[in-house]
Amino acid sequence: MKMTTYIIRRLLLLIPVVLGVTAFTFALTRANIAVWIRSMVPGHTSSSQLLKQEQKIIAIYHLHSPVYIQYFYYMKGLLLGDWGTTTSTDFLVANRPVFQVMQERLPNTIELAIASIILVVIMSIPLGVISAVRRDKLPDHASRLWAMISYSTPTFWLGLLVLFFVTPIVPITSITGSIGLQYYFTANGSFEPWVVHQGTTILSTRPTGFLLLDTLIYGDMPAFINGLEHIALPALTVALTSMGAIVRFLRSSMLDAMGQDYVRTARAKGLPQKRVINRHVKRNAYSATVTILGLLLASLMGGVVITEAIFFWPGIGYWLAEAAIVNDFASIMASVFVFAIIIVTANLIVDIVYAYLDPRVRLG
Amino acid sequence: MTGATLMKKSQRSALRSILPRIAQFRRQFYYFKQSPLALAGLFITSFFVFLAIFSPWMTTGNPYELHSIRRLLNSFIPWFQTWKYPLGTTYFGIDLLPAIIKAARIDLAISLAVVGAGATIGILLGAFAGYKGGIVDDILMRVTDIFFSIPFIVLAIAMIVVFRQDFAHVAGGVMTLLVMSLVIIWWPTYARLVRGQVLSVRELKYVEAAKASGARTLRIIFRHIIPNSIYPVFVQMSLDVGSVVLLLAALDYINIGINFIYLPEWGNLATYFQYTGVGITGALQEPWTFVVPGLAILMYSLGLNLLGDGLRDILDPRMRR
Amino acid sequence: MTINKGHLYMDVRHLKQHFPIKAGVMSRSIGYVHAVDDLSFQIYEGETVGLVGESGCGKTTTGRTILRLLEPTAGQAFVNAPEDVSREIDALYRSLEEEGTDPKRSEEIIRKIGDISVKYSIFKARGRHLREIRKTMQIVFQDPFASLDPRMLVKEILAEPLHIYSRGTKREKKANAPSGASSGADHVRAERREGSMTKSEINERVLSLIKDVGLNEEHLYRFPHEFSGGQRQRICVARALALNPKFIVLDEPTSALDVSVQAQILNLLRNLQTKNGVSYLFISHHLSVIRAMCNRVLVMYLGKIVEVSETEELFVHPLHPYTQALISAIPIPDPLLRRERIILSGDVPSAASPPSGCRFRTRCPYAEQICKEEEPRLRDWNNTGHQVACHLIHKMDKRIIDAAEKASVIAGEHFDESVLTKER
Repeated sequence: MKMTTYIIRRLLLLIPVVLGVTAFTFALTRANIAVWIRSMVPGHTSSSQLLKQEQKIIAIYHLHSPVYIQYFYYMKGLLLGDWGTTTSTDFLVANRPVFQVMQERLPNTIELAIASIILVVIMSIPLGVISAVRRDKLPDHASRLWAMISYSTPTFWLGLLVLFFVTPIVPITSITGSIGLQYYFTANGSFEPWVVHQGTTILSTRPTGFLLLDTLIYGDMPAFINGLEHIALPALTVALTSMGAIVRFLRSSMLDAMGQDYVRTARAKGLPQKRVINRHVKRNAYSATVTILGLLLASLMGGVVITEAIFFWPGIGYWLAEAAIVNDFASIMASVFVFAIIIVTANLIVDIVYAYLDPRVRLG
Repeated sequence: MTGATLMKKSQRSALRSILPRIAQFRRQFYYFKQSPLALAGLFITSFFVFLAIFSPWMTTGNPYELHSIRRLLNSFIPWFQTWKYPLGTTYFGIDLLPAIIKAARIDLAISLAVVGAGATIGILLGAFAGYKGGIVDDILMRVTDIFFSIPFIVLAIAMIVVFRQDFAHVAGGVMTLLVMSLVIIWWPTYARLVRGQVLSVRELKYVEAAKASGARTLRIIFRHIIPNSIYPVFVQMSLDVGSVVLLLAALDYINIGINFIYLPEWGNLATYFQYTGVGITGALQEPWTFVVPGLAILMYSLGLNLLGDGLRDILDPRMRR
Repeated sequence: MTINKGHLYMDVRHLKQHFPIKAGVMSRSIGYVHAVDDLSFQIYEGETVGLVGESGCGKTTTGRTILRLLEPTAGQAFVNAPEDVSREIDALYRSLEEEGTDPKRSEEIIRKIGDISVKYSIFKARGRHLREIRKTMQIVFQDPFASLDPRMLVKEILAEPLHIYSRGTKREKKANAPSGASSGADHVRAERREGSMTKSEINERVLSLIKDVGLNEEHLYRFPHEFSGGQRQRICVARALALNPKFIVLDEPTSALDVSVQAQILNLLRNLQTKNGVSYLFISHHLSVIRAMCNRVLVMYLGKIVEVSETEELFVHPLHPYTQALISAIPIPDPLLRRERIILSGDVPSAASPPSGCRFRTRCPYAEQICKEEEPRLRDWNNTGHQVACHLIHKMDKRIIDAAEKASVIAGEHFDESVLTKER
């Protein structure tokens, strides 16, 4: 199969999944209409106002129409960026359009996820390799145990523990959030992390939305370093709780590669062990590991949600955790949808990269 | 032949059918014993199961008598205050040790319920879809794709938020809601796993031989396909029994899991600080209040993971190198 | 070896098995692999029919399809029809072939065939009827390592077919148990449920089966992986025999085994045949084994039958150029013999786009224009029972007849009996 055919086919397979996710969020809002409508009405309204508000909501969402027409309007709103309004009380998001908040929050979450993945890869490669090379020896048992502990650690617990150990040294305000308060600027009544260049220059637009990237683009090194300081601990927390799967997978794919005939051949022709491992085993084990990076992202996102809530990281997860408490349906459904899009896209990229690396995949 | 000898003979043949299975199990257990990690897992898991079974007889008195005097007694070793509360006390004066022991039963029950129900649904759907193939299989795979594209915790949050009002005023409603949501989250894992297994088992000649012997679809699925594809499911189940508690604790942390002071559950115990208004900064001043129940979760999940890994080694001989 | 053409057991007509090839974005089928294309053959009671051909020519597919382990694309397989019905079937198909020009007449014939096939064809059978037919047909697979469920004891494996066919009768058994076989009504009911067995009957049957194939009671309580390949194949044979079938497909039963074990299994199969009177469809690419085992041989090439004959006749007078090439490839353990081998050029063409006309023409050393244009039909040669599908041999092409005579000399002198002499 040609590469383009493969990509097209892969894209077509996405359509039912994305449609399914929207149908799921749609169904969830409609599953409990009373609760949903109530969540959109401010708590302190009188009963006559309430009735009026309800009538308005029913009209806006076409709740009298058949389900498929409601779904049509739902999809239309989704595609046009009309995602409703938040009902959270947090002053950062209160009463703002969900789509706008999402635009702010999404890059932060992706940034944290990428930083975590990088940390996972950096930390798990040595463990996986040692575990495979010294199989059934002490280092193997130790690194496998470490992988297991990583699986079994509650994320919030580890986050609190990290905070507990760090807060005596640095104040909690300088490690929570995505960047130090001195770099924040209040504009348009909302609290947005605009980057102030060297304390004076206000960037009127954020070129990418990714904090670390923006600060780099504008060459604001203090802000960049401050950003790095803020991302380090949450990323470490996420990475520590999700590295187990990669260590284990790397170990087994290393062992797999070590059992292959070409490795035996390499040994037979007299290559030293180190060279065999570096040249023949690792390369194959790594390319196999690429395949599960997409899966890793899905499992890592769960950790990201909790970690954001602990470190007040202004991403989707923190927002979601707050929205969950106040029944903010619009925000919750938007995050479900966006998380699904993130994971689906990541899997797509991984698949295409892997198909590019390994032509056998395309035939399947 | 008299009735007595007949009886004896049938008993003997039943015994002879069991003996080879025992022998095979012992062979497999030999490999299990070779791995210190697996043995540790078995030990830890049995310990928690023991706690869960005997918890009513192990704790005296009610840990949930709220004592303002014994509130927040420290269990940090250097400042250790009293042997009366070996693990210290947490907010509202709850004694942590008996509370944790009591919680073992609830956590084990919840995770077994979730995994048991999820695995049953997943095995049945996965086996049928995998064996039948075609459109049924396609639909099932697309549905599981949807579930796999949303992180478990996000899915759980969405479902709990939508339905919690309905369950709020029912006795045990919170638990029911949690278990049901987690089952809905977990079944696709098993459906996928079983389906993949079935796809490979289905092509084996002994399935065809059974078909040639006149076996119906149901018989083939239940006698040949499921028994031959079930072992990875056992492994996954043992891993998930740990993961359920982890997810539950995460939900507790963002205040939509079990938030009821009188219900001993590890994640709930670890996040009591949320009821007090002290917030994270407050909790960091009294770290044992979350460290100790969190350690219980860690050990429980670790034990099951080690056990599952050991099981994988003995049940899947290909991995045993 | 002459066969007494007894009762016709299985009559396969125009069997087709096409597998779709999927490709492209939407996995549309862009073509078909013509694995089995228009196959017709008969199997009589108590005979062994060989099916030879190179790998990939559709032998195994044929075997699996006539047991309906695969759904056929087209065709019928009439099983165990009464004498007059099978004569009628034969007449219908004959007239269909002759009067193919008149659409009305042929439509009528097709409808008649349809009516008969509902009653007798395994491809049309459903539910209980299918199970009843399946009960009389079994299969032994090539790979004894994959064909036994690894999680069952041998005892359970052998008892499974028996359990399947005595299911749903437990209640009746219970009802019968106290009164015994005293009342007439019970007796009738028990008779109707022929083959239903009690637990101890099943145990006895399993025991006798395992002894029939040369193993003993000890072996019942072991798992398949504790056996060697030959022993496993014996277990497979025992399982196939469990229901006293009338017909067994032997799908290369000895290819996975080494030579000494091979002889044991072949002897076992022969002895069982003389004892129980089963028919075999013996699928193999090992010609010496075929010669030792079979009464009749079908030669397949690329999904088609090219030659049908009694075994000795085929080996002595191979008529089709493909058969000649196959037979010349049999190794003969005689260092002094110098013989011409017919070496075919080229590869087997793809079954997805078989060549026009005669399928063998791309590799046939004698191919002419007619081979390209017209598809040869399987016809009697010189009014003998020897059927062959080749234009040239029917035109008495000198070269082919010479080759046949040459082959006959060699084959007549050298019958490789080694396959059976290891154990008698």
